[in-house]
Amino acid sequence: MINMLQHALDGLLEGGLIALAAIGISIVYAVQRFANVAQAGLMSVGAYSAYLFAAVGVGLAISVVLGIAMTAAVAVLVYLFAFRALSRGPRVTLLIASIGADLILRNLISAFYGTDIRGYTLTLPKHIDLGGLQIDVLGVALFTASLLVMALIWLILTRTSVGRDMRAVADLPDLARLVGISQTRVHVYAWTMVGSTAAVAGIAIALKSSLTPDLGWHALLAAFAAAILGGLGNIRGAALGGLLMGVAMALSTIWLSPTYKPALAFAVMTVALLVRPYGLLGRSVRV
Amino acid sequence: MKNSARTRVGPKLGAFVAASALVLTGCGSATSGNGDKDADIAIGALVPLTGGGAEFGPRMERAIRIAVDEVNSAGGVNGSDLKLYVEDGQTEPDAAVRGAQKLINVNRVHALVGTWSSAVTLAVAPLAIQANVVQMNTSGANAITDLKDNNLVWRFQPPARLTGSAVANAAIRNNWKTAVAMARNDPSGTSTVESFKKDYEKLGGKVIKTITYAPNQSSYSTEVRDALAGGADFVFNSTYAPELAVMVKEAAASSSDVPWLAPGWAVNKAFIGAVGGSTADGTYAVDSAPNVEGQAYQTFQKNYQAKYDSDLDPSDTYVFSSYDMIVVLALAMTDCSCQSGPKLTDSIAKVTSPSGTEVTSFADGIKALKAGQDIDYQGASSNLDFDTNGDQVPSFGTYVVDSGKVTLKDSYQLK
Repeated sequence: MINMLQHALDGLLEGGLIALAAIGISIVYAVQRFANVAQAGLMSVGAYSAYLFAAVGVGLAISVVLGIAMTAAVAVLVYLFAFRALSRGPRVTLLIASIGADLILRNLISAFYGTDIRGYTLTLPKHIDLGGLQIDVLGVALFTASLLVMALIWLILTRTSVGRDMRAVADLPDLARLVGISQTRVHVYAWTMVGSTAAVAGIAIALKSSLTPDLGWHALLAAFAAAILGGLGNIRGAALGGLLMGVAMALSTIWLSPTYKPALAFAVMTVALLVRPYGLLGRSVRV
Repeated sequence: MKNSARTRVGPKLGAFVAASALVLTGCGSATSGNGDKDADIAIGALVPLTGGGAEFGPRMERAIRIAVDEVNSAGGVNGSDLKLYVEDGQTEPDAAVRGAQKLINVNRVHALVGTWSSAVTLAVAPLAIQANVVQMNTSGANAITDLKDNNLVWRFQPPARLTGSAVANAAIRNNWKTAVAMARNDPSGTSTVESFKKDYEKLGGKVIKTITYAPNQSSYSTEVRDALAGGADFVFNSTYAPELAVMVKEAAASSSDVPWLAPGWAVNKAFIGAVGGSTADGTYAVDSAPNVEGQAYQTFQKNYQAKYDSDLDPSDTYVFSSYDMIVVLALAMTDCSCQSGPKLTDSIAKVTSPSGTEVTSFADGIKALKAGQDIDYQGASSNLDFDTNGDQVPSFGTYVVDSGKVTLKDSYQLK
């Protein structure tokens, strides 16, 4: 029992990071209707942007803030250069452009930093024993941080005029334009959020593991599975999907070899979609 | 269709190569006709100055230069100086092939030394074999053993397939009786763990759990917990630096003090940098070991320090091997008074065979050879005994990360 609880806890902490990455994918899908593969590259950019400052002696907290800002700027630039001009074209064009953008981002990092692994200098806090349950302090801190970011996004989307405009563009883009909402402005806001969440996810992953240019790429599959599980384009769904995915993957290792962990993410997604074809919180569309 | 096209091109190409060769040899005899000294012997170094092997290549080149200087200042090979040509193999087979072609066809080298990556060695070996040029490498792939090479290919590092048994030996020598074996799910990871299990149990150890895990995950908390829950004396993890970094960090945060051991290729400078020195401390590695007690090792270290003002770590095994390549080659060429062919390859085996008088430098070697003795060169990288496949009888070492540096703790030969 304690073993199962331990696995579930480990999975939940991991799930927070998957959820954060999945939210980025869902935001892009909500406003521009395509699956953004460049989420991977942006997560790596996030981790390396913070590293850029940390490596020259800036404190870790300030490096993280600067890294998030820098990644948000990169995300907006990627949008302005690649996705704005294509936003009226077929979705598959956007998808392929995002694969290209991802390759460019990751290879730019390799060009500057090489492919060897790197790390932030951080003394890892020891686990805390809570009645036989090992609490991963760093994991809890990162999980809390990702919950806060998710809450912030939720507040922006539901309580601000920016959020209202974004929802308008997401739901009825033509009508939104008619009432004078600038699509480009809304997209820039959306990509700022995408860049910031990707940076937090990337930095958190790098803190737990290490920096490599492919860090985001390796996290992408579980994030996509989570976003689809929650219902593509649905922010709350992506968060829920990520947490469920993390717990399911960790619990599976009690019975299955951990080799199958990545495959399990897809098994969960497939089964869930058989039951709810629009994802957990996705809306069915009546034609 | 394709074949017939090839047969038509073949003779033309052959004629062209032959013509170029004639022109080149013509040039060669013209320049060496100054009479006062025998012609230099061209040697090609094809080292990874850039790409994945760039951590080692530049120092391998330095080692080769030191060896060439040493040979030449001791009078050269029967009066001829070695002349070194260096090309960057870029750790890329196609770039290395271009480099090898230049060294063989333009510089007319008699040996191609210093290839590091297995992919590069496997790509350039056919060119060397075709040109009847000796090839010396530090690569691990098993396929190198199986090359039909007329004894031209010599491997100065133990093949990777022996890593598993080396780890088993290291564990028993450390008095570790029980193990958890972890494998990154790839051919190298799982096959190394298989061979480790077989040899470890033969030596009396017990593997209490085997965990095969998916590569490239950002978290291995459940796997690490599982591994540490077993209460084993140590965890052997057959993997690469990225996965090892995640797991060693996670293990450090737990209260466990079970030691972790991984192959030397995972416990490198990047790993220590990423994990942070103090967290990486105490991580064990098993890798081939240089001959630290030997005279050749000490002389070479001293010369390297004097020339480049920096120290080599014992874990820089490829660098020591590169030095030995030149010394062995020069001794063999002196012994057979030849620069290629079966006589040379026989002599390479002869000057390293355990039956001769032990020598530890080129100068001592030629003295003994002139006195009519058989010699056994004891190198900086190892005692350099080769089997009939041109593979080295391996000597391995157990290393441990201490104050952020990989330090040699123990070394032994695999029987």
